[in-house]
Amino acid sequence: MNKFYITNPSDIDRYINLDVSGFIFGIEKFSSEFNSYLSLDEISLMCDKCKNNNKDIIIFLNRLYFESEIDELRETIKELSKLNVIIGFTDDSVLNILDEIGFKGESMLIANHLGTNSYTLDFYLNRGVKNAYISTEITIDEINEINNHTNSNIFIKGYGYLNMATSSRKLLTNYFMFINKNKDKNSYTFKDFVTSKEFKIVEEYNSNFYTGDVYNSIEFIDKLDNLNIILDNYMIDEEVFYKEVNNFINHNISEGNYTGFLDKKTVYKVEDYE
Amino acid sequence: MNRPELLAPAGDLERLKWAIDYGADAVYLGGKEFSLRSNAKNFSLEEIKEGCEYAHERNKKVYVTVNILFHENDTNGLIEYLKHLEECKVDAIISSDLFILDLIKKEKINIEFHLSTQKSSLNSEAVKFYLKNGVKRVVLARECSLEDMKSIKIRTNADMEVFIHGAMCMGYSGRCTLSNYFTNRDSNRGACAQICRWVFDLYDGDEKVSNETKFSFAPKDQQLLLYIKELMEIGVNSFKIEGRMKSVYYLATILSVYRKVIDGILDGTYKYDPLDEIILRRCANRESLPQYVKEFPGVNEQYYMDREEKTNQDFLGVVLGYDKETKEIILEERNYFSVGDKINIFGPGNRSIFLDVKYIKNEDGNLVENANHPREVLRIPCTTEVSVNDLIRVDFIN
Repeated sequence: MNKFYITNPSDIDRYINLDVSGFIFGIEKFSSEFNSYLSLDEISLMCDKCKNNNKDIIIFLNRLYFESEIDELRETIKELSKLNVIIGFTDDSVLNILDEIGFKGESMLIANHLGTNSYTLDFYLNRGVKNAYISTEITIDEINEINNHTNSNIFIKGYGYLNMATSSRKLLTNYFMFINKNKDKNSYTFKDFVTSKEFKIVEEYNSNFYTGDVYNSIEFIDKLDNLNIILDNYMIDEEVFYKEVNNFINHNISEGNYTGFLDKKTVYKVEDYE
Repeated sequence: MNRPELLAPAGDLERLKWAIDYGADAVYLGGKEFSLRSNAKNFSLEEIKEGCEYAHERNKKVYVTVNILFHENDTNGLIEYLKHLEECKVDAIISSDLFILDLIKKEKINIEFHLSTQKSSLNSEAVKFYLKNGVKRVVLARECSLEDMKSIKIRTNADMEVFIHGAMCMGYSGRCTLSNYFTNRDSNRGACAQICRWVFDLYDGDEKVSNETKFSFAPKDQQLLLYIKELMEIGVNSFKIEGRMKSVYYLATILSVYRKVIDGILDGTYKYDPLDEIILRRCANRESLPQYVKEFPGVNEQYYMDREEKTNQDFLGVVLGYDKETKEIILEERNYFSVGDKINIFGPGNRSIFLDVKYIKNEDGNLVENANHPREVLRIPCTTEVSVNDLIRVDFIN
C-alpha cells in the first residue's frame, strides 16, 4: 500500500478529498524547486485546513544555506516548530537547530542525490529523523533493499522532473551576459549535440538542472509497495498533474514513460563498461 | 599565527613521495576501493602502508579518501578495509557518508574522520552537528567566502580544511549527477564524465538562443594565492590542493609556490612576488581565479567557448643525477629543448638556478642540437650541483 504526497497544489481544495496522505510546501527564502512559496502565516492557515482533513503537511527546507542566512533560518525554524508540520531538510544545519531548540515533532531527511543506502538513513534515524526522501539515481531493487533494511519511513519521487544537479552559480545570467543578450526568463532548455536529448536549466536561487522528460514511475508502482510516493508538480501544467495524481491513486498504469534509473543501474567504475 | 597544514593530492606512491619531498605536510590518496577518482591509479593496501611509513618517517600525515556515496551493496568489505587502514596507521579517512562515523565507533576502529567537501558544509550550524557526532575535521564547501569561513571558525572552533588551488565542480560537490544522466557513469562513485566541460545549444522553447558561442557551464580553476595570509589569520587549519590525477611536475610546482608563501608569512619574510602567480598559471591548463572567497563567481569565472584549455611544454626534464667530475646534469627529458635555450632548475626548499644550455649530450655521449625524444637520458653542463628529482622547466622568468 502506497501513500501519496502532493507538492504545493495551486488549489488545495481540489486535492484534499482525494486519497492522498499529505501535502508538501516550500517556504519563502528557505526552499527551492516549487512553483510558489508560502509565508509562515500561509503555512499556519494551511495547517488548520489539513488538520481538519487528516492530512500531513511537510515543509521542505530543501536548500543548502550560507553562513549569512543561518540566524534568520534559526528564527524561521523556531516558528515552524510551533506548527504541526513535518520539517524536511537538506542541510544538516536544520537538524542541529531542531536539536538545540528541543524540537519534539517529526523531521525528514531530504537526501536528494546522497540518499543511496540504508546505513546513512539509519545514522539520521538514530538521531531522531524518522523520515527520509531518497535518491532518484537508484534502481527499484535498490529502493526496496533500502526500505527492507531500515526502519526509516522512506519517501521516493513518483512523478515530476528529476533534478540532475545544483549550482550556486548564476549560470544563465552569466551566459546571457557573455553573449550580450537579454535573459527574458529563468527557465531554458539545452541540447546535447550527440544525442539531441533535451534538458532543462532553471535559475532561481541556485541554478538547477532537470531532465527534459517528466519522470513517471507508474508502470512500476506494483514493485514500489509500502513506500511514500511524492508527486511533484514543479513546472508541470496543473491539469496534466491532476490527471496523473488520479492515475497514481487509481493505479491506472501506463507504459512507455520516462522512468529514470528505476530499471537502469549506473556504472561504478569505467572499466565496468567493458 | 598557527602553522597551517599544506595538503597535497597523491595519485600514486611515486607522487606521494614527490609531494612530501616538495613541501607537503600531508597527502591525501585513494585506495583501490571506496574512493572517487576511480580513473586515478590509486593505492593498494601495501602501497598505502609504504606511503604511511614514508610520510611518518618525515613527520608528515596521510589521509585516505573513502568518499564514494555508498549504494546498498557497496559496503561489502568496508569494515575490513577500514581496519586495514588503521593497521597501516593512516592518520584519517576523508568521507562524506556519515554512517561511517557510527561504523568506526561500533567496530572500535581507531581512525580520525574528516568530513569530505562532498557534503557541502557551508555554515556553522551544520559544522556544529558534525563535530557533535565525532567528525574531527570539516572540509568546507568551495562555495564558502572568507567571511563565511571566519564566522564558522569563530562559532565552532572547528578544525577546517579549505581548498586553495585546483579544478572546481560546476555544482555543489556531491549534488551533481549530470554524469549519471548523460553517460550512466556514477559521479558520486568515482566515474564522473565531467559533463560540465561539454558544450550545448541553448533554447527558449523552439528558438535557439546560442549562436557560435555555445552554452557552457565549465568553471575556471580556483587559485587562492593572494588570500593565504587572510586564510591563516582566520585560522584555517589545512590548505588543500586539488588534483589526484595531476602530474609530478604540476604537484612539485604548485607545492613549491605555496610552501614558499606559507613559510614566508610565518617567518615574516613574505613579500608579494608576481612571479608566483605566473608560475602557478603556467603549469595549469586552465585559467585559475579566486572564485568564491570575496564575491560570488560571475561571467568571468566560467568558460563559454569550446574547451579553452591550453597545454604547455614548460616541463623539460627530471634530474636523475649530477656528475661532479664533468659538472654535468644527467636528466630524463620530458619536452623539447635546444642548445641556447634558457632553463630553470628547481627543487625542494625553494632551490632554483637559471642557466643557458651550452650543449646537449645524448646517451651515446654525442653532442646533439635538440632534445626531442621524451624519456631520453641526456647530459647538459652546469657548474652548480643539483639534486636527484630536481625538475627542469623553461625559464619564463628571465
